[in-house]
Amino acid sequence: MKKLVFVTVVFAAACGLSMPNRVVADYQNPGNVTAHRVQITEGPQLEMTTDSWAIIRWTTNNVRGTSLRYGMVHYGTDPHALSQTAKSPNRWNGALPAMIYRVQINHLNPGTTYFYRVESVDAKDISEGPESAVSQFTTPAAGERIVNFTQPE
Amino acid sequence: MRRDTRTLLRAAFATVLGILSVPLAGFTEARAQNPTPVPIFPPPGFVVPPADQPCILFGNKLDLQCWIKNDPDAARVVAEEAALEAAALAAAKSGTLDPFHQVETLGELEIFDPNLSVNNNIACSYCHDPMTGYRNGSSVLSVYTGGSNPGSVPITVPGAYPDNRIAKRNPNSYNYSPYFPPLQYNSTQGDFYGGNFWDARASGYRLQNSAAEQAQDPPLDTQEMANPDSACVVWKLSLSDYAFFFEQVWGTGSLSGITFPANTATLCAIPKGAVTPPAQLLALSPSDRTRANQAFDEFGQSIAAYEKSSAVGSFTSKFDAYLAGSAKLTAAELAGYNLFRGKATCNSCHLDGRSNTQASGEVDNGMATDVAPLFTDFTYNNLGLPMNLALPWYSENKPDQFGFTANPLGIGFIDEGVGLFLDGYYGSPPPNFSWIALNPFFVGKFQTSTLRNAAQVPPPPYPTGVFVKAYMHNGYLLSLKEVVHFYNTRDKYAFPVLSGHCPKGTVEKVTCWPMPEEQDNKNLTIGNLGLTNAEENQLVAFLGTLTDGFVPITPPGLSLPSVVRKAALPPSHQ
Repeated sequence: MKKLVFVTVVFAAACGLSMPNRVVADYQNPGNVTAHRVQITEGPQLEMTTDSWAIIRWTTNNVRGTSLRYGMVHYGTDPHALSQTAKSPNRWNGALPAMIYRVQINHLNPGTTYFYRVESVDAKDISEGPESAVSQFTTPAAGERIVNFTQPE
Repeated sequence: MRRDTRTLLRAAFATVLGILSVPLAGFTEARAQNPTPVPIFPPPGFVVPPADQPCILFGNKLDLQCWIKNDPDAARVVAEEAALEAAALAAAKSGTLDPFHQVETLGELEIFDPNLSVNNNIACSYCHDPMTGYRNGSSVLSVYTGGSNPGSVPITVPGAYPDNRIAKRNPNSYNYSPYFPPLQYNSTQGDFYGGNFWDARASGYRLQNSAAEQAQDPPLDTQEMANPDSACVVWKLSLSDYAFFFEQVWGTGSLSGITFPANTATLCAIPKGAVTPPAQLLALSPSDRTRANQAFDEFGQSIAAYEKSSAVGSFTSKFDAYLAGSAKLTAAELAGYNLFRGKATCNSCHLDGRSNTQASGEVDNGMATDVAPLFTDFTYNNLGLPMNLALPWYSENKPDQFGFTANPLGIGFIDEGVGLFLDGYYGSPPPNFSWIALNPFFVGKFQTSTLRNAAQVPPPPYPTGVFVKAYMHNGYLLSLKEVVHFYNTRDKYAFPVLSGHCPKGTVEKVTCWPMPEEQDNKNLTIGNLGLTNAEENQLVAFLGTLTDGFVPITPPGLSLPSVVRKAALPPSHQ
């Protein structure tokens, strides 16, 4: 009997040691809603762009939190100074395990290369996870458009 | 400041368009005053009935007075409401109704009573046809005015367009509207929930009943029933055939105990908004004013009771039967349902109440979390709809014979939806000071309506070839197929133009969507869903399963009072 108790205690201790600190932190701070693991599983990528606006698209997994959420794109013409931000509301479809974020960036110039990184926040402006690496796209000449996310016929 | 700037820009743009359109101007006075043709997009199969043909003016404008007299759908709606009013009155007089059905029947009597408008000519149901899920009932209006309905007051100024006061929006549905809770801002979700009307302005703050407060608005709206004073509505109730029944429900003296002044009939015949002579409130004593206010609240509460009755929202659709395990969806409907809660992401806002345990590609075998889903989350969104220039509202920028101008901004008006409400509608105090700071986050947002009965139309045949139903707050979309196609392709086919000016080689509503009326807060959940044409059709098929009446309302074997009345159809529709 004592042996069984000893094994149980050792097993429990081992489990405790192997538990990520995040779990403990969550327990101690229930308000820490950003702690769950969210990954960008697809993108970000340029969905489409005209000479004056563009849409950036990406997918995250393990979505939680508020129904109303915002995709955010930090962008600029200097990859080291993404000084502008575009933010679009998106709604979470609770029936799906993943969520597609789409953000429209307006007031762009034709024939210009823009650099950007993305993140997503909930309705309280709390970030849900890591930001993406910096990507880039180039707007077409005046009057043209580029569509990367093709519509099936 | 921002709004002023945009209004000026919009007005300037409109002026340019107007100048460009001058060569298209016609020869009559009306043409000279309104040279810009209205862009309309009749769906395939739509024809203007012979009776309506004289009503179509140059530039696709609609002579509303002519339409009122001649449109077959208008005649059908009036016949329906007369039949329902008569049946409800008979039920009220029968003395057999239980308390539930008494208050519901009273609401029914009020909804179908045209005498409650300033000119005794339109009932609430005039704009909320039971045959269309309590939405606009005229195909011609859907095409030519975005579903917006003419109100009680004709405009007699020579050459005026429109020639009748008319509302600025497509009427929203009564169906399941009482299930929307009183408007609340949820600070955790960062969202408004509840309220009635496209813009949430029937917040339910006072009666704690959004539908009741909604019912109180059109009788006093200048563009609708146009009574100058809520006490006028109460006075009209006191003269009605069912005044006895009102007092049976709400108490002896609730109407007859009010002493109305001698000039009541004169003052109550002056439409709201009239400036010559000045519109006055009835000079009631303080106690009579209090009693009249109470009766007006009871008027609204009765209507809300009717709207919540099984006559309006019965949860008897095919989808309800499917949830209960007593009906199977067809292959197309089921495919549409899977798209609805999957790829098409409709379920983000139009909640279906099912469990959310499935992984991608799996079949949901979980129990429904809500066996009476309302297909709305009670929130508000900006879908990025283009301006619908067919709305006569944009031309209501001149004084009518009463000196009233409904829309001084004319084409410069931007419908900001909830933003307008939070702002207090141009000059009025904001309704809730703690919500003022939220305004920028809700500009351009409109109610997520229930999808129940969205597909409901009157039975054929149709004088217009096909029945055309207008969707969304401005009626820009004229079929569920158009609605789904808009959600699917809004961004792919986006062009920086106004309606009617899509680039050569594109087709508006097919391969061209004009720019949003309001860019702020545009929801990006939709806009490029990647649906095929077949998938769009499957979604439309699924939406057809949400129409009530698939299951008989009265369970077999049960004998319930026969109080659910169907509208009587004119002979041509039987």
